[in-house]
Amino acid sequence: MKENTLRQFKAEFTSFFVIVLLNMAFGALVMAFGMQFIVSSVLGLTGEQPFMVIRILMAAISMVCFGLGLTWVLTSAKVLKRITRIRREYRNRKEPVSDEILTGWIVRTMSHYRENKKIISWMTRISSIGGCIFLVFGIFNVFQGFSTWTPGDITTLILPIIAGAINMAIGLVSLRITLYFRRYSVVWDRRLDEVSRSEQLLVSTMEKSYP
Amino acid sequence: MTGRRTLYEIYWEILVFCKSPKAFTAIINRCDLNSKTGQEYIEFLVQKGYLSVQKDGDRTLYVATGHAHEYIALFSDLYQKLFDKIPGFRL
Repeated sequence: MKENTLRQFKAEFTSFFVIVLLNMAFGALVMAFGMQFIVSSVLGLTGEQPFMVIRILMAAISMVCFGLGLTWVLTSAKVLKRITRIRREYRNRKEPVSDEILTGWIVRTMSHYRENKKIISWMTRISSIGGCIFLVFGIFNVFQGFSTWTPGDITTLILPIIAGAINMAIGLVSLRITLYFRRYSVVWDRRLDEVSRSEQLLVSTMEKSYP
Repeated sequence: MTGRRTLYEIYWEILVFCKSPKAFTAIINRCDLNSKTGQEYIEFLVQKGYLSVQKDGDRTLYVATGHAHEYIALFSDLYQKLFDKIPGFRL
């Protein structure tokens, strides 16, 4: 039983680690895009009056995106910090894993989930919002490509479509990450419920006195 | 070990750590408890017969009893079963 449990624990842990890492990478992308838009909006401020208002608006939206990306990265880093410690422990372990060590890792992962439950649900939301924004950007890029395309000039069509494809890919992966976070939460919520139910058995064991 | 733990998880940690005799300070440091709650938990475990008190000169040491091993085994079994009962999460 223990070998199976250990294998499953490691597989789950690695999957969660990869998701949080990917999530962090997407947060960094949002931050980078936000910064890029801020710079290009500010550089374009020398234009005419109505154009300037649009630029200021774009810069403001970009700043919000930058802030969102930064929060996204910081939140993921916070979640990552503690799971990295447990992961390092089981990766560096050369000796066979005893029952107590394995149970200790399970308890720590459980307390990590209890502590970060709200953050994970918040990360799920941010990740889905980010994914939707990237998808909209991608669709906008493709639409822009077709609307500005002059027959005969293939680059005016290809470049926005490539940009659109990149944005849509990021958006879709981000939405997929949201799905994984939801699945992870469902699994651990069920485990927390199961622990609450099992506690009754621990309570009755503890009730016994052995003077 | 930090984070939100249940009372029974804390008891388990104390009992596992006290498989060999341990001083109060070592227990609260290892199990990340403050001295007030640490004292309460240890007193409860002593009172229930899961920890016994040993004197080593001036030092008071706590060691897990045979009953503690029953609790540890039951706890480990319950927590490991969580991975058997509930379908896992994987990419």
